[in-house]
Order: sequence, then structure tokens, then C-alpha cells
Amino acid sequence: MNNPLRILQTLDRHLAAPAQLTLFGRAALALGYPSSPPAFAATHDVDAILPLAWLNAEDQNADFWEAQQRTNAELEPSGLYLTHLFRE
Amino acid sequence: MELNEQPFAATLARSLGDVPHVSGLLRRLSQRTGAGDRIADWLFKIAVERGAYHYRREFDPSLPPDSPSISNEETGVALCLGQHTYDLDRLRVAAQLLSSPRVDASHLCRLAVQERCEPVLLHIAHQAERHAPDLHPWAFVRQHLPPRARSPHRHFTSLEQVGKPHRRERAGRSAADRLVVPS
Repeated sequence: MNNPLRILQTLDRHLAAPAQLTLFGRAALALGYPSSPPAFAATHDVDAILPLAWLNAEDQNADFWEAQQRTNAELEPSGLYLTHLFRE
Repeated sequence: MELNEQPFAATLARSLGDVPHVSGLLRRLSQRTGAGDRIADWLFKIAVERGAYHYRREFDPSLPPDSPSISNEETGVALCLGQHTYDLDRLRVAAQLLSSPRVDASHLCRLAVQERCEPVLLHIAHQAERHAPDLHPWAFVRQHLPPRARSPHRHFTSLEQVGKPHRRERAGRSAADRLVVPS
């Protein structure tokens, strides 16, 4: 199972509006490079960078944070999460 | 060309040579409690009201009241977030709040990983070991909370600076030495 894919698919299902994430770390390698080591797909989280302008516009990102919270709640039994989010 | 420089702030993360993340937990707590930008003060007040009496002080009476739906584990971890202003008492009050037999140690460790507080909680746990080796939840934390894995991105890497002399402090005390001693 590709954990980063599962995490992002879960987030996507909870999103009502588009959101932009720049992935980095093992999840990015697992999703961006088919020949990456299988261990990268076993990571329990997705690291991402959030656009600064979008982050500062709180009225535009409430949906994302709600979706993030629901994603983490849904994935908690499996130990997967999406919390390591950084600003540009 | 536009540069998105973040303003300098004397945060806990900066003191540890780390980069703070954008905490969804802190955002949720600040909204749910109504504390907003005063969430750090609110967390401190709630920790005192819930048992960290050693750090009792005058609080702004306009801070919102306690919210029972927010757990002690969430409150303690939120106090240890790297984005807060560097303030040792904030970590000490978290240590005292979390030194309770009612704390769910497993949940605490999971939150610490998710909120990138492992260095702080492990430091508290190791300090606790010196005075009360069996104290809950710190014995569990020492056994089950892994040190944060090294990031492949150099500018996000900081863990080895915890416990080693900070660049600016090679001649003095280490960043970890300055952290916290649980009361």
C-alpha cells in the first residue's frame, strides 16, 4: 500500500475546494519517482509546504484545515497522519 | 523579485535550530476556545487551572474559560510547539500538567510525533528520569517515543542540535541544558 497516496486521497475526499500543497520528503519521492525505494511508500505521513499568500488569507483556507482534521481523525487507527505542514 | 522572508522571532524552534511547522492543532484550539492570537496565554492558564499550580500567576481575566473537550495531552503538546515565543515556563507548566497518572501516554507520544515535539518531550522525560525514574508518563515516553527522524532537507534538519551546543553557544550551555526541568 502506498501510504502517501492513501493520505492524500483521504484529504482530497474531505476537501470541498481546491488546495495547493508542495510535497517534499519521502512522500514526494514515493509519489514522484516510480522506482523509489519501497520504504518511502511506507512512510506514515506526508510533509508539505503551504503557499504563504494562501496561508495568510484565513477566509480561503478554512476548508483545508477542516479537511486536514477529518483526514487525521479518519486515518488515526492506521497510524497515518498529515500534520507536518510548513509555510513557504 | 519578491522575497517571502519570515520576520525574525525568538521562538522555541529557532532556539533549537529548528523550523516550526504550521500546527493544525494550535489553529483548532485557538478557534475552538475563542482564544485566537492569545492561545499561548490561554494554554498556560488552563494548564495552571488543571493542576500545574506551581506556575499560578495573574492572567488576563478576559481570556476564555476552560474547554473540557480539549484534553490535557493536547494542551501539554500545544504548549511545547516550536512556533511559540521561547519561554521556559511554558515548557515547565506543560511538564507539570502532563506529569499526571491520568495522561494517556500512548496518545501523548502520538501527538508529539504529529506536532514535532519529540525533542522537548524526550528532554522532559530524561530530566524526570533523574528524579523519579518511574514517573508516568515519562517512563513510557522514554521507552516509546522515538527521536525525530532526520529530514533529508538540510534546512529542516535540527535534531542533532538538541543536546549538542547551539552554534551561538558553543562556549556556554547547550540548547538542551536550557530547556526545562519538570517540577
